Amino acid sequence: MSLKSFLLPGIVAITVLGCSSPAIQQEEQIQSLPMEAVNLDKLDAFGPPKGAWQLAGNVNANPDQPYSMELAKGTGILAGVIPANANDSAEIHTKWEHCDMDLELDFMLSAGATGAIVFQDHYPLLLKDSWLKDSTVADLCGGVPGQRPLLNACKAPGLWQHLDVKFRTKPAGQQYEARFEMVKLNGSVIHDTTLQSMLSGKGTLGFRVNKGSIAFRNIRYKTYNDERLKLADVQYHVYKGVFKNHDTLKQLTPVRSGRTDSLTYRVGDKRGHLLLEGKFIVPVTGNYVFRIQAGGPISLKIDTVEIANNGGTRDFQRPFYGDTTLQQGEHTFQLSYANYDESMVLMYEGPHIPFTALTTPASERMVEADPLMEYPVANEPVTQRGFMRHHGKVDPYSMAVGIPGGLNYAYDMVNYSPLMAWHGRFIDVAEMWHERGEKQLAKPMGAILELAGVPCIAELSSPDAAWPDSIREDSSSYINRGYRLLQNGLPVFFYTLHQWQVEDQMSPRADGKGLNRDVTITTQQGAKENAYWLMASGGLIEKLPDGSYAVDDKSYYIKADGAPLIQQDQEQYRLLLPLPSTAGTVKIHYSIIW
Amino acid sequence: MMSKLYSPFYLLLCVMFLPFTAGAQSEMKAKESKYYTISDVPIPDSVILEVGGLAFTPDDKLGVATRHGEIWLITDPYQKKSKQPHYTRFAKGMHETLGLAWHNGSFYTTQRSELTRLTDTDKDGKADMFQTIASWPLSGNYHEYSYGPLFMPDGNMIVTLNLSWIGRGASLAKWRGWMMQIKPDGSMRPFAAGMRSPAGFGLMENGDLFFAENQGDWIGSGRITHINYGDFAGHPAGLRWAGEYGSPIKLRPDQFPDSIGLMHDFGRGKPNFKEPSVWFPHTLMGISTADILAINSDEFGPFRGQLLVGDQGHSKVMRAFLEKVNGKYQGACFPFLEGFSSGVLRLAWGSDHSLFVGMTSRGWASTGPKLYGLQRVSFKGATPFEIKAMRAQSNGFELEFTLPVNKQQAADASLYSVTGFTYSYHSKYGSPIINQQPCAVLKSEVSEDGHRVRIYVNGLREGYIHELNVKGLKSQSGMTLLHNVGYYSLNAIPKGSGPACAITPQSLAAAGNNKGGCGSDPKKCITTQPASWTKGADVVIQIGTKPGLKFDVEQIQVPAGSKVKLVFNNNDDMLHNLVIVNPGKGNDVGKLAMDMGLSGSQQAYVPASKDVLYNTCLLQPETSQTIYFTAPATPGDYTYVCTFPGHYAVMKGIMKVVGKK
Repeated sequence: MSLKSFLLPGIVAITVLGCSSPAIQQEEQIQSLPMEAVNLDKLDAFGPPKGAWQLAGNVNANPDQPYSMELAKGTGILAGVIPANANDSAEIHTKWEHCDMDLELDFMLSAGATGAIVFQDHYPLLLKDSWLKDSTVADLCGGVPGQRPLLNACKAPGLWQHLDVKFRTKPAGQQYEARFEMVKLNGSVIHDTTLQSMLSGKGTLGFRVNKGSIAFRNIRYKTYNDERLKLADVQYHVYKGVFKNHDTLKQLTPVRSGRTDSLTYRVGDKRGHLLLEGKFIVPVTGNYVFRIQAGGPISLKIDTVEIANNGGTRDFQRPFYGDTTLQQGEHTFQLSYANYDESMVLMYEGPHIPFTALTTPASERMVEADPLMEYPVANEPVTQRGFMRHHGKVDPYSMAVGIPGGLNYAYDMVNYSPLMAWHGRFIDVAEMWHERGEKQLAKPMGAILELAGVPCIAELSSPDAAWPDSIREDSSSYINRGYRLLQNGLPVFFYTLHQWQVEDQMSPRADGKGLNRDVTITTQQGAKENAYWLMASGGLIEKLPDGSYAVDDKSYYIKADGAPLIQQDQEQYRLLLPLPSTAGTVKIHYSIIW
Repeated sequence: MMSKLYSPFYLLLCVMFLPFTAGAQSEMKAKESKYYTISDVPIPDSVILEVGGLAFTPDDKLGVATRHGEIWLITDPYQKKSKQPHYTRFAKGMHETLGLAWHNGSFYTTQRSELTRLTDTDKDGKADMFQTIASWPLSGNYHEYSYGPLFMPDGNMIVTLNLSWIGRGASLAKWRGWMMQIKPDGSMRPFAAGMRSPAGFGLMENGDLFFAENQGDWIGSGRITHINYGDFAGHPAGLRWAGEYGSPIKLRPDQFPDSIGLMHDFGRGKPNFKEPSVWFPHTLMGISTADILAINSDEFGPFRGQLLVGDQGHSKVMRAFLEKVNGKYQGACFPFLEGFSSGVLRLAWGSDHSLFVGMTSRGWASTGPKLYGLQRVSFKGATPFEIKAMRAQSNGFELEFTLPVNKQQAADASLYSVTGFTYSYHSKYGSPIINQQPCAVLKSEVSEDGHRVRIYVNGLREGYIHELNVKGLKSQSGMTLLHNVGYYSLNAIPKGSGPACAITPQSLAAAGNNKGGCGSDPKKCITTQPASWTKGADVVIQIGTKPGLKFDVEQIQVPAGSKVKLVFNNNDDMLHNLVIVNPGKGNDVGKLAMDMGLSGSQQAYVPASKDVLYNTCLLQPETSQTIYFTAPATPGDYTYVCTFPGHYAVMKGIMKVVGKK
């Protein structure tokens, strides 16, 4: 089939797609096939349990009460409970077996709990309350046999903790080599490869409690087999020039063509346009997700329909996605790449097939990572302004504060609001102060607790009125703003909104469990509107039996004096403190613990 | 005689005989040191003094703001009491402070996103109060540096905001590319626009404000420009905000096609379009214009009233003489002092009229080899023999010298050569010298007291820069002229009583399209595969760039005599070339390139030298070029280097030619 006739039927499809190209709709585009969820409405997914396992609708574990966990009736949460004096362990396994697997779940520990998630019946990933423990001394949560986690990322008992695991096996004679390719706890990588270990083959996934109580929810997984998509009849055509509009190739003659067995930009020319086409041999019918990353415009078509397009960007580290359903068997493909920056990566994910590269390793441009440049905290608190990542974006007005003893937080200097907090070491400033520091990113060196980062005081007509989400940088409604340093080196932030003069300070709790927040608000004269102080906002906020609050779906605790209101606005919750409108000073004190 | 002066060949010879010979850099520094000493201000090992700002306190301590966001206080930087000045850290934790001022008991500094006032309220020697006076948006782009503040005579402050960089200059956040005025109460309004990388600005004694601009897209070469409220200084990216409330600028981005021609012509008739006051021709007078400081006393030599201009890339300080013609500033720049230890970014006067020079080169390698530094310049007292000033006349120039000239020599018009040239005003990064043309110096007249020489010059063009070269002139007392070149930006030719200039445009060969061969010998730059290579190249090599003026591959290997295809990718945001030279000759060829004078930019900065084997053209940012050559027959460690002036010291690699086995 000549190139011309091959492309002709595609024109119609392209025109139709042109109105809603994949590149434009990336926000809605799925980036990965959905995971399977373990149904926690019933215990049918599991074999006969050992010990006491229950389903619950909500769970509470007080960090000050060892081993205990309260369960509320309902479904969606799986909890294993060992009574205080018992010596036995409790264990429950799935009915299905797995080889390679990705697993994500939330777990919650009671104070002092120990247990594990067991892979292939044999391989435990330790779950343990190692909250606030010294990283160098203790057994840490997330450990695997023979390998300590890279850091202590454990949160307080009674809070939901998120685990992300990539478990991989490889046949080795009659047995398998198995390893944890990647483990993230609460967003921080704690293993990025493990020592290999020999196993006998497949096995089930197990949940074990040795001491105390552990609850699990949102258990999602993907299992993988050995089927892979294959390439056939691959040809390449090289064109002179580079084109953002891939259709331009139809009007041109290639300067050379040929056959090849692999997909790589290297068969083409720098600043030349490369067209690779051939067949995908699809092993099994199902939904496939394709991921492209390239330095220059790239487009992937399957069966003449455009599946993915990167909008012409030269950012070769930014992925774009497209998905489609493919029947088992042969499908034609076309990969068109305008080679500006010599990097072209095509990957795919399919039914029980993990993300696999179709391009060769040499087709990806490697970028040297900056060497670590730790900003250590010695005997006094340190502050450092820079850019920091928050809620998936770069916040260029951040101040990171590191306090001796391993408590750290970041504060937004326009909204005057805490952005995040973390236990452990302070920040890595390599991307700020190495060479030109092009990213200017200060990177926390511990598991990050993200906070809302929105303005903390607002004048509202009623508590359920909408809350402002930001302050303007160049015409701030806050005046007389800044921060001062106390004798001990900690910053106190100050600003004035109309008649409300605010002083806001975070300091470490003596027990190291979190941060105290002390806010002083002085009202100069009678105010027209009511003002509120925002103690927290995010997902579900609950008042706990001991009077403290679990915030953002048990992401952290707030211990507060006073009587804050829980304000709910659909899925968003706010913990508000009404402020008096008469002249005077009010002091607000609470702690955040995580 | 006359015909010789018109001969382009003669001009070329004159240009090549500029008094810079290979290795002359340190020679010139030695000559300058007879009049000005440059000494190091010691810095403790633990202090990373990457200077972003300098300001003295009322008790004569030197405040230094650094790129790590710290403010250091140096007691006795003059080393009067001790060889080691005492350093204390006044503040830390700020985001890239690139300016410092002292006012009414506080330091003021500009961070990336705000102007901050720092005060030591409890008098413990450290700042404890940090007030945000004004703030502005950032997009998170690394190039969004913010500079200042400068206190104006009216008590208000000026800050400038760099453009963002996305492969070209852009204004991704509001007011990037603008100069802003901030009142003490924190209210902020836009002051001027059209800036790209306004790293330095300063006041003349009379309160007139000048800012320094850096070569880049739309900016053919570095320069300083007098700036007033409502002025537009040339780069259109910031005009995105010209329609915003408070903007005094009426220009729009759509008024700027990608290639415009000459800035001088384009600006005519456009209200407040500000032409540069003094151009600093790229590589001849620095490559990254940094700070501006006025000489306001007679204690620093005979140049009172002139402006000192620092250069980050070439580690030097130059001077500019300014005059008003038709009510607008224009003037000439002259070399002054070179050989500073790192990249010059900030200048400040000490109480004893010594000059403190603050430096940094991280990320932008400078001729001075150190990563950062602080040096101090003192005038020794003896008057150097220099061209003090150059004033435009209706039919030439009047040169004023610091000492009486040898009258007989000075009356010989053949000692003076004048060449006019300009830059293209376009969206591309930088500009080669264009429309270069020699001007005939017809006559020279010496004043009675020997201090002034009036030269009558034909062919002067308004809106053009004119290079003056004085060869072989001595003072009455037998001293050689210390620096014998100057560049006058002739924005306007004064009307006068003398004979009118006969403008006789004669164009030399155009700057060239660089199709195929570049450099002094196009045969060394073959860009298409030779027909004789029927089986193609034996070796294909890819070399790119890394930030900080480096090649990303610093060692390659080729068999002797093999056919080599070399692809050079300039991934950086500056101009670069790649030149393969004989073993050990990288520095020599690099120095020759720096001395190429006006012809440098037209020949891709590749000098005519037998040590140059092969070369690429001078590549724009984010472009690449392939050259084909046969590897030398003799094995050895050959060097490849970027000969763009100032880069050769760090941007190099080794090409190992190995013998066949």
